[in-house]
Amino acid sequence: MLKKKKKIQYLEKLVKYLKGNVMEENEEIIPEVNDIILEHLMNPRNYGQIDNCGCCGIGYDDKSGEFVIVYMNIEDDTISDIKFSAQACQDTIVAGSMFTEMVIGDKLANGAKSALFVRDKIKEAPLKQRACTSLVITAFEACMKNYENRALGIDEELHKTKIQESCEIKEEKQHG
Amino acid sequence: MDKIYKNKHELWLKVLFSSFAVKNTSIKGKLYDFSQILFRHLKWISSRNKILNIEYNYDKSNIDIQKKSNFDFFNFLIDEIRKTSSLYQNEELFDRIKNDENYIVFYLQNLLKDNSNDQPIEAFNKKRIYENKVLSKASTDALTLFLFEETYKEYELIMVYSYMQNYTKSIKEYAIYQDLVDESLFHLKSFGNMLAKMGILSIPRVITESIYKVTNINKFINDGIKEEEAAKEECVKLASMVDDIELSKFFEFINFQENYHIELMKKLL
Repeated sequence: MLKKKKKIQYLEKLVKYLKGNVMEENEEIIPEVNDIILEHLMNPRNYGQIDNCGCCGIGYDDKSGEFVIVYMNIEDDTISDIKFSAQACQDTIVAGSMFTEMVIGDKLANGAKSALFVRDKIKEAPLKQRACTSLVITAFEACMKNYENRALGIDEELHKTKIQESCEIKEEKQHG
Repeated sequence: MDKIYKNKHELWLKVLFSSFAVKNTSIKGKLYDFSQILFRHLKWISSRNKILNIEYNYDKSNIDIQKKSNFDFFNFLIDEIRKTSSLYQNEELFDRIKNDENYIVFYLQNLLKDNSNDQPIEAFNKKRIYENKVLSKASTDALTLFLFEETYKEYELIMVYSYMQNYTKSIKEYAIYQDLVDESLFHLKSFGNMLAKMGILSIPRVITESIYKVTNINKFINDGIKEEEAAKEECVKLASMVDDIELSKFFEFINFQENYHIELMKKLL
């Protein structure tokens, strides 16, 4: 489990990466790669699936077809294990790798707070990076919803939630 | 699920990515050739599995290839080949495969006899300097992200097209998939070697099953065309971003190849 200081450092690096830098050459916004991001690009953490997991959630974008699946095991309200898999781009993998690393070992309530925090922090990021991160956060929240539903006795194998903002629609509009 | 297929898939990647990591051009070339032989083995095993109704998928374990020296790599590959060979059954196909792998082990063992074949590996030093070229921080970041994204994408395309090729009943489609696989193998080699030169080499992540177990082929092809178009755009963008004539020309060259991929894919519709 990451210590609070390291967690804040992670969040800062992730947000900085997602917000990116404007290139002088052509005014493109390029995500900023630093040492921590590079480590997650080379070795994504918690990528894969948990067989017979305690809860499972999917965040999906029906326009682009991209999705993220989050699998968790919860013990005493603590996220004892978390994994994710994705059909999505590199930014989603980095966001998923860093976010799962941040919340593993955390209380569920703290995990939920981290999710809200990331959502809030990336509001100013470019649309593509917002949508990529949203896939991860939405899948995590769907997974928590699945945990709640299962605890209530509802027969639900997994919980699916569509992300609110697709990068595909806006890009089409921008091009049009 | 077929354990032989999984191990063989991982072995192919281990040998292929070792070829990117090693700097000595003669050894690099030889390892790359071996990886191509292993890839053909993989294709033959998938074909055998289809005939025998043995299910296979593209699951793989996390592979640690961050070795410090050539000799570390050679010893690692010898161990991995032996582990995989121990799984083979008594079949003509596996006799051939075993014989190929025995030769690869023999070659690697010979390299280990001569200390001049040992060199430190720089493919994981994270320096992010490409052949002493001076690129701005933003250009370096753009190049880094492009290489990671496209290395995964090419690997994914190779595996998806191979899967489709194994299950098609049309000779025409079979040939088109082979062209697409060959093209992607070249792109993967190019990008993998670039990642190694920049010190950021890593094996791509697992491919999600829903990507290659296709239920709607037309949708799959149309999505693939969209992706090729996106890859083209990325190449054009990158060519304009990196302030280096040699790199720009290379990305324009790759971009032009993507045009033909789109035409090949349209023939599959």
